[in-house]
Amino acid sequence: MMEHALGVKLAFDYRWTTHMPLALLALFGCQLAGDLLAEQFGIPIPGPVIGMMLMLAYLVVTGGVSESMQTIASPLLRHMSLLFIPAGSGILLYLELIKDEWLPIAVAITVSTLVTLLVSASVMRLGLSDRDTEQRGP
Amino acid sequence: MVNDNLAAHPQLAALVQNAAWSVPLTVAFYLVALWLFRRAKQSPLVNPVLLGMAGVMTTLHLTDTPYEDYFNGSQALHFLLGTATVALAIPLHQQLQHLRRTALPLVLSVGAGSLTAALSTLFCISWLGGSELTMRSLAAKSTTTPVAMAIAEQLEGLPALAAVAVIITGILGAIFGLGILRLTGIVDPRAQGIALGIAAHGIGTARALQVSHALGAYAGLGMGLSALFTALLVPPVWYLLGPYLVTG
Repeated sequence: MMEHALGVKLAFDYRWTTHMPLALLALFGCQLAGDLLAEQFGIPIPGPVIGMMLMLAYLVVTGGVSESMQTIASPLLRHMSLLFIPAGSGILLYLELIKDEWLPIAVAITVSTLVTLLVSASVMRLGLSDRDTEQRGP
Repeated sequence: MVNDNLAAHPQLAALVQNAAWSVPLTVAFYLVALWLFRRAKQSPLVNPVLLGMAGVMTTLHLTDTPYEDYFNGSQALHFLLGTATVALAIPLHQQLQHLRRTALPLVLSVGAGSLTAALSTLFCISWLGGSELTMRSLAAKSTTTPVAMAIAEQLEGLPALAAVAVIITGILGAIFGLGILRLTGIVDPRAQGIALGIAAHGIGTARALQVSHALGAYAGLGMGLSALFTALLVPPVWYLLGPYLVTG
């Protein structure tokens, strides 16, 4: 047992372990690298998505999600909704645009949601039934 | 715009307009919105993002605070949105373990679905005389909010409009998605789940998880893969088709 400075008893002294800063560096490093790659090379993929792909590669190479990474990422992922509010509230500046174009916007949202549901489900069902008959075949 | 409520209290107005208020204000409204969402038994209609935005926008309006001041003050939260987008790799990594079993149908379904979402959105807006700005903003509106906002920014559209359209898409898909699929005779939970994830992202996935774990797992996979596909597909699709849609 270690006695923490604040009097908390710890089974192991985590103060000087490097797992957490390493996970932080990986996460923020991927974000930075994604932004830099998108900017410098004009890749037509958003920087944060390039960062996500880099992060995915990092996870595959390092053999999975460490406990520290999980600790850092889960509040970010669970409460991502909070992070949409600052940019999303900018809709305030475009109320005129929505008033002028509510019909194309509403139709596009409704039609594309319906068509996308049906196309994705149908392709999936077709693919699954092909595979199932293959497995059942002689 | 003069506001009577606060004109009588200049000190209060000055306080709310201080940049340091942006973050606590946002978190407080998010907290209230989350509480209401839970009270409504997590109904997709009571969306925490839309409610939180409504609270912030109402406050900005009542205190005559320019949106730019609020946004500058909330840069810390906005920066973390990029970090959270990178962190989406973690659930995606976990979902990819499922991929081996049904890889080909999944990839085909996600590819077809993501492309359909972008094309049908662009054609509808173009057909009904919507502006180029609206097309740039909504091209990626079926995918998860952070990715759709990042793509809108990349295409020089409006990330805020993208966020609102994404959320409305998700609400529609979550409420009517399963009913529509059943009506058309699609009952396989794998097909239902993947379709909900592709067409209605996180909100559809949350709905799928309320039904069953299997449905939720496929929805999560659909959401994660379609975020990747949409980010790869939509910018080139827009650069290729955009000029025709705008003039035509």
